[in-house]
Amino acid sequence: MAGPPRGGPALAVAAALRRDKVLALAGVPVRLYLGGLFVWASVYKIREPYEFALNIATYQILPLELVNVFAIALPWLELATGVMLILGLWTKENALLLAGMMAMFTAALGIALSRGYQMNCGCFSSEKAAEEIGRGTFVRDIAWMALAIYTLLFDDGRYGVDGLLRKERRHA
Amino acid sequence: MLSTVSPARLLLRSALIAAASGAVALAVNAGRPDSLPLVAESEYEIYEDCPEGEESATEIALDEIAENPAYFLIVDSREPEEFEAGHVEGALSVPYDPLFPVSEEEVERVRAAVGERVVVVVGDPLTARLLANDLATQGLDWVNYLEEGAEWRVLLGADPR
Repeated sequence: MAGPPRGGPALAVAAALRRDKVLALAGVPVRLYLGGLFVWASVYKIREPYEFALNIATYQILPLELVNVFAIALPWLELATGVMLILGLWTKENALLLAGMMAMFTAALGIALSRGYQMNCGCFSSEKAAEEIGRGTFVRDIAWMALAIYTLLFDDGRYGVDGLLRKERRHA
Repeated sequence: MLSTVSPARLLLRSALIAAASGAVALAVNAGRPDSLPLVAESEYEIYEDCPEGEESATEIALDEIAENPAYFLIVDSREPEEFEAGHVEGALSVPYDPLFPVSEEEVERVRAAVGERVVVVVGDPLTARLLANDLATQGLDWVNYLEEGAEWRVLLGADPR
């Protein structure tokens, strides 16, 4: 006959804390990867704002009035979230922004694919080597969005600046 | 884990990051020599694919032609000398240079010859494909070219000249 679990609530809490720790630890390489990816993605867009604006316009989703505003602002948001994610500063906030951006990129890609556009993704570079959009880029974007959601849910920045700041606050 | 930050605080801080990065973006853009205007002054010149679709020629298998040769008009895109050296019986010679569009006279000649049949362009694979598309674009219906790798000279086997 099965009885109640041995150890009671204290052990259950300890097990949950251990699980949280493992999930947060596993989130560190994910966070570093996503952060690096977004920093890298922002570089060409900041350097070549006109090219990036042309990329945005090619998707034919945004009205002309918003194309340049997006082309100017988006790369800096990518850079900020990327750097802060690498540092583990305001980790969840940046993961939320990153997941939002990935959702936006994935939706844009899906619309372009459904319309049968043959065009460059505009994700990292608009040079000749730039990739053409396809099912592969779509699946890849969904995977990156999933990683961002993982970071949002399970990484509280305890192994980054967030963790250090929390420790300092506790000691103060 | 989500509970370590309250949702309101999460959203507020996210908005703060977005606003701060937006402000930096605008400041940097204002200071750079190749700055973008906030609103584009004219439409971007977007590269669009050539309109193809219904007007395009289609690929056809060699077997289909061999099974019902009477159903097809073979249009030979090679040079006249090559055509004279040997061609499929009943084929129409339409020498084609991919650098120039097919002339209206040639299109009318094909239209007059084809009747109820279906056009299949043969010759050098790329040239044949380009002529087939050119004819289709000029308004001819049911224009075909041989699928990649198919050797049209097989059709010569029945009645080589």
